[in-house]
Amino acid sequence: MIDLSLLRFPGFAMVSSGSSSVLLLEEVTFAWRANEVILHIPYFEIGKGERIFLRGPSGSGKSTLLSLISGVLTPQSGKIQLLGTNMTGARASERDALRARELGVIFQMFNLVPYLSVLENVALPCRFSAARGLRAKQSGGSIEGEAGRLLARLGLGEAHLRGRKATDLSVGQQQRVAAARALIGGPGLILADEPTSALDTDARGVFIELLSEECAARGSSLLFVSHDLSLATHFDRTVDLCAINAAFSHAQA
Amino acid sequence: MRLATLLNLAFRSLLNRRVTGALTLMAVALSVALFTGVEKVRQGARASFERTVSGADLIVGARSGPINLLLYSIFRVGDATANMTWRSYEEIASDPRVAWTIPLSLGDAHKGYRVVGTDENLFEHYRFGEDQTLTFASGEPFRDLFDVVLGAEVARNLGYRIGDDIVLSHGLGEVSFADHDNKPFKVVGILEATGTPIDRSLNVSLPAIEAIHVGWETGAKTPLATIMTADRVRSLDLKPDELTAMIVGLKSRGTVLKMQRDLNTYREEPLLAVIPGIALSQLWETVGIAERLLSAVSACVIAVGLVVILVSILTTLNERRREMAILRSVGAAPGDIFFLLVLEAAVIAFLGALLGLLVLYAGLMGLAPLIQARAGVSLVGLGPGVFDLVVLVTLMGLASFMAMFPAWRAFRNALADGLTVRV
Ligand SMILES: Nc1ncnc2c1ncn2[C@@H]1O[C@H](COP(=O)(O)OP(=O)(O)OP(=O)(O)O)[C@@H](O)[C@H]1O
Ligand SMILES: [Mg+2]
Repeated sequence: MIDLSLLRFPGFAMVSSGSSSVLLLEEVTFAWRANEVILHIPYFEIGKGERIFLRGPSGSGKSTLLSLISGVLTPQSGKIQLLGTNMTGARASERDALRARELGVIFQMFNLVPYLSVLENVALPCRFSAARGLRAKQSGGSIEGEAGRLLARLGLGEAHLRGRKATDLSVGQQQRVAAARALIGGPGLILADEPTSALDTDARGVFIELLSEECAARGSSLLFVSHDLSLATHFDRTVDLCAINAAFSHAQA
Repeated sequence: MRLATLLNLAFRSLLNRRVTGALTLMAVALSVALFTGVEKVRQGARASFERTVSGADLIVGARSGPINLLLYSIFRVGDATANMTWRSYEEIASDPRVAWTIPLSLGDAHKGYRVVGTDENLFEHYRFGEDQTLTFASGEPFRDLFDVVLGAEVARNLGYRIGDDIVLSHGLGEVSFADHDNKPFKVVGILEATGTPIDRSLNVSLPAIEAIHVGWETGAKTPLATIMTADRVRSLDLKPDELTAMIVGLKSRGTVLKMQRDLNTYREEPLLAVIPGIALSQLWETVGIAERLLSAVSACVIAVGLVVILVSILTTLNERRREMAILRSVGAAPGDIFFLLVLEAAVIAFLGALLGLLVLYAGLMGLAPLIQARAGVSLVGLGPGVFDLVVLVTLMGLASFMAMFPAWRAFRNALADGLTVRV
């Protein structure tokens, strides 16, 4: 086995030293249609607590990559290892369980289950993973308590907001609720797929700062996807998908 | 825990679709109410039908059809085409194999209720339901010529009490043009409700039937009828010549077939003897076609209700792909998505059926007296029962089964979509 810490950027050796990587991709290929490989990633790794900015032009396969990492899609070949578990070798049910326990996902928009309240939306991952629920309880006394605490941290402290139907909130508020849901129970990795593209420039900065702080506070790594390079300054490291994707030259003819 | 989560999600998503959800529930509720209602009334009709007479071995009358005989003798529907003679009655009654007989002489009506001439054997030997005998709510059997014993419904609907004087009319209409108003009868007894046609009859002695008709022998009023006051009638010989039918109880069940054959080949006059159970089921067969048709129609209504559930889920499927992707992202397995939709169908079926049963019982409670009065179908014993539970569970099962189709599509979508749904 390769000593993974040696392969990391020297600047982040402090963050990741002494622990194995949170995410590791090796020779991963994926094609939506047969023989049209849009992703071929020889190597990609995220260390513990690392916050990574993943950029790439539209259609380059960023969202597809996140689906692969979350175990919702399976690659045609290669290995994806999340927190030491080999996802590609695992059964579908194990991947689902691992996602519930160790991943937080924020989408570009429409993040919330429309018929659940704000608080219930935040608590949702804890309903699908007992382990995650337990961690939320340890941190906030109860799942609801922790959800409320996170909402407060993200500027949604007013009690009357929590019982509201999720769809009654503004887009910016909804994105913060989604962030709280991704963060609850301290998952190992948070995947954010252009979560700020629906926000104005000021709100963007605030949102990213809050998200970064909370990730740091609970030691979660962050993989933040955007094509807006101006946001890259908020992150430890910027990765260009085209640079790590060996299939890029073929796909983007 | 997973089940509780999914159940909550199914419930809440249903609540969220207020208008379509309410309409779906309403459709299901109505179809369940209709189906169960029809089944209840059907079962009630059949039960009260089969309860009408029990413990009797033979019903005997002048020769006609078995169903006809049953109809007029037991159900008091229609009229006898011919009567049997009193001599035959006495001969049959004295046959060594016969334990008891009940004579029946139908004819007149009183405000739409049949007057039946019979004797005290009716109170002693008539059996209905689970071998129950007639019991008196108040009063006692008739003893005097002008005594009358009322069925429960007659007393209730006409407001008669013990000691009331009533006038019996000629003919069968509700209003009679030729009241036998010079022969007043006195109510001496009122029977408990039985759920049989007995409830709708006025029972008098056989001589009383003769007495009513003194002076009416030609079918129209003669001067004799007017001058024959009640007191004068008493002095006449009122022994009947004819009877409409008789109910026979045998000492031993084993002799019933032989007895029936003997009566059907009776030398003195053409008689017909039927075994009530057999005749009842023959009669039910004829009624049964309509009844089965009704069942089939109400079953179709249930099918429509199920289709409504299916449609209500199918139509939301596309707009909910986003929601399914969110659930996937927080850890739901494709199987959870499948199960969620099946659960939704089951929840709709459950709530709809529950609502339908509530509507049904509220309706039945309101309508029971009317149905009883108009159709003579007793709704006794039609309260909530195992049948409702079977309907509920079956509907949930069928709805879940049908929901597997949209659920399977959502399952496939969940696998194909990944996290990002392009809508
Ligand atoms: N569900 C799908 N089925 C088939 N092809 C898909 C599907 N989703 C994405 N693709 C294809 O995969 C490629 C990459 O799409 P993807 O959404 O991952 O790009 P992206 O980098 O996230 O783009 P954007 O920045 O616009 O969100 C595109 O060519 C797209 O057409
Ligand atoms: Mg994308």
